[in-house]
Amino acid sequence: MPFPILEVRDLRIDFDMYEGTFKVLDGFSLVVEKGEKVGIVGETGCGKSITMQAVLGILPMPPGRISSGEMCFLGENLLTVTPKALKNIRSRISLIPQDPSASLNPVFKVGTQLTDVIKHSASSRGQTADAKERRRLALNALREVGLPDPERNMNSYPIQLSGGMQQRILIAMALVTEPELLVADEPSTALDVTIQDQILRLMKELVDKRQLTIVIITHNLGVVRELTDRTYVMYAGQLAEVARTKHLFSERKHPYTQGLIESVPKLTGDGISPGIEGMIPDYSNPPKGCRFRPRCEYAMAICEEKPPDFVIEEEHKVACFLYRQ
Amino acid sequence: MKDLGEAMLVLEQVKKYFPLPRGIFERKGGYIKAVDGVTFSVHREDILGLVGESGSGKSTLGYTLVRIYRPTAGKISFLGEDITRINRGELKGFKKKMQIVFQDPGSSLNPRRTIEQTLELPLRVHSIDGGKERRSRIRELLSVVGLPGVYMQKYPSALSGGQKQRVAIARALATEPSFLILDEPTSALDVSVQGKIISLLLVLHNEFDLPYLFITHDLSLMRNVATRVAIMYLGRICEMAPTAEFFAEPLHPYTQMLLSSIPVVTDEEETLKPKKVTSTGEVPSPVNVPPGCSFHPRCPVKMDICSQIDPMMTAETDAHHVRCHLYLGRD
Repeated sequence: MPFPILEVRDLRIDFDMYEGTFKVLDGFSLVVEKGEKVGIVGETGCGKSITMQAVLGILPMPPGRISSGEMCFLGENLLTVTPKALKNIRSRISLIPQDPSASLNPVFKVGTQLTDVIKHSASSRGQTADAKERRRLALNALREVGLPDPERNMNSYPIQLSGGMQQRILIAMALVTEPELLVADEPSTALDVTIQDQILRLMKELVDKRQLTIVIITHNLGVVRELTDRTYVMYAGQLAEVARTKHLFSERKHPYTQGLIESVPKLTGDGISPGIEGMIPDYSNPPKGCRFRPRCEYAMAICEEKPPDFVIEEEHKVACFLYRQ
Repeated sequence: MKDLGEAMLVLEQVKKYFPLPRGIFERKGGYIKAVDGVTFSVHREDILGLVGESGSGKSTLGYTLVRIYRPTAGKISFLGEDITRINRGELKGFKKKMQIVFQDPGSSLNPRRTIEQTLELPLRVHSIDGGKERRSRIRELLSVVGLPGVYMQKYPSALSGGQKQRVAIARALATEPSFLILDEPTSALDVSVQGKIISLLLVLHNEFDLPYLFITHDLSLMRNVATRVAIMYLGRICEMAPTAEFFAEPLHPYTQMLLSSIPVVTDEEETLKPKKVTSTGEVPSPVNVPPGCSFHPRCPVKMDICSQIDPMMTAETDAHHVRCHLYLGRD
C-alpha cells in the first residue's frame, strides 16, 4: 500500500516587496507517494521552484512568506516541527540543483565538497565516519554516477570539469546521503542535448535501482514525459492539471496544458504553433479566480471564481470550469 | 529540391582561430580552432539552420560573418562581393546590409535607453532619414514587429522577454538589411512565447525576401522553420541537407546521436527518431581537437581509418552532404 512521503496542502506563498505583495503561490497542493516519479512542469515564474524551495526550507524569507497551507514530510508538519527535528528531516531530502557550475564551490576540490556532505550527513544521523571511510564512500558514489577516473577527479576543482561531469558530481552528492526524497530542479537545462540524454538516463537508472522517490521540476515537457509517472502542470502559482504522465500527454484537458504541449516544436514538422496569447499575470495584482482566464479562449463568467480541482477520472484532476460535472 | 534563388552569402573554407595566451615560462601558444574550415552558401529564399552544441563554433561563425570577429582564413562573399578583406569604410556599408539578432534580449538591449533611442541609433549611424521622419520610421518599425507606438518611450525593463526580442528584431530591420543572422533568437524565451516570435520571423522572411542564417541548438525547431539544416561539430560542418531529407534520413553518426537524444512530446515523434544511438562521451575542447575525424572518440561506428584521416565532405545526393568515412568512396 503506497503512502505519501510528501504532502503539500493548499500552500500560499507571498513575497513582500517594495512594490507591494506578490501572491506567488495561490493554494497549490501536491502529493508524492513512496517510490513515485513526479514531475512539476510550467513556464518561468509559475511557482514550481518556489514550491519545492518551501519544502526544502530554502525559500528566502523575507521577502517570501508562507501565508497559509501545510507541508508534511512522512506525516510530520514541516511548518510546526522543532528546528532540530527539521534538521533531521532535511537530511532525508536531497536536491539536485539547476546550474551545476553555480552550485559547486569554485575554491574547493570536488572531493572535499563531497566528503563534507558525507561527514555532515553522518553526524546528523548521530554516526561518525573517519576520513578513510568518507573517501571510500565518496569514490563509490562517483563511480556509481559514471564519473570517469574518479580517483583523479576527486582532486579536481569544479572549473576543470565539464558541465556534464559537474552535474554527475552533484547527483553523487545528492545520493550519497541516501535520501528518502530526491528533488531535481531543472537537472538538465544547462546541458547540451547529448549530455542531457546521458544525465537523464543516469538518473532514471539510479532512481529505478534504488527505488527512489523523485520530484522533477522542469519546463521541458519532453524530459517529464521520459522520466516521470505522474505530472503536475502549474500556471501562475495554481494547479492547472495533474494526471499520469502518459495520460496527460494523450488526454490533456486544461486549455493551458493543451496550449503548452501544442507550442512545443515537433519533429514531425507540422509547422509552428502560434503559442498562447498574452503573458503571465502581474503577481501583485493577479486576475481573480483562475489566473489563466485573461489568456484563455474559453474563459467564462464563472472563471472569476477560483476553479476547484475537478476529478475527471482516477488520478486525473483539472482545475477548469469546462470540466465541471 | 525547390529552387532557393541566387546565392547571397558564400563561405569558402572560413576559419576563425583564437590564439591562446602564451605563458611566460612555457611557450605553449597554440590556437583555439573555433571555426575550422566552413564552406556553404545561403540563398535568397533560404532559412539555413546552423545547429550545434555549445562550443561547436556556431555563434563564433555568426559573429565572424557580421565582422564582430575578423576571419583568420578563407573567403566570404556577400552579394557577389568579396568581403573578407574590405576596409573600414566599406565595412559600414556592408554592415547595413547584414544584421544580427542576438540570443538574450535582456542583455542585448541597453537598459538606460528607451526603445526609441535604441531604434534610432542604427538610423543615425547609417544616416537614414532626417530627424522628423525618423520618428515615424521608428513607429513603423515597431508596427512591423507587432508592438504599439506607445512602446517608444518605454525602457527595456518594462517589457517582457518576448517584447524585448521584438525590439531587437526591429533594431536589426532598421537598416533594411538584405540578410539576417539570428543567433538563438528564442532560446531565452518560454515555449508559449517562442511560437509568436518564430511566426513573426517567418512573416518577415516572406514579406521582405529576407534570407536567414538561423543559429540554434534546437533541432525540433529547425524541422519546422528551416529550408536547409547544417550540423556543426567542433568548428566544422559534418552534415548538411534540405530539411525534409535531413530528418528523413540523417546520415552522420553525430546527427543520429543528436536526434535520438531529443526528449520529444508525442509518440509520432518517437517513431521518427533514428533508432536509439546511445550518447556517449562529451564534446572535446576545441584546443585539443582529436586527430582524424574529430567525432571519432564518441562515434559508435568508428573504424580504424577514422582516428587517422579526416574525411572529406561528400555529396550523397545533390543537396545532401556528409563528412564521414562511412559514405566516402561508396558509389
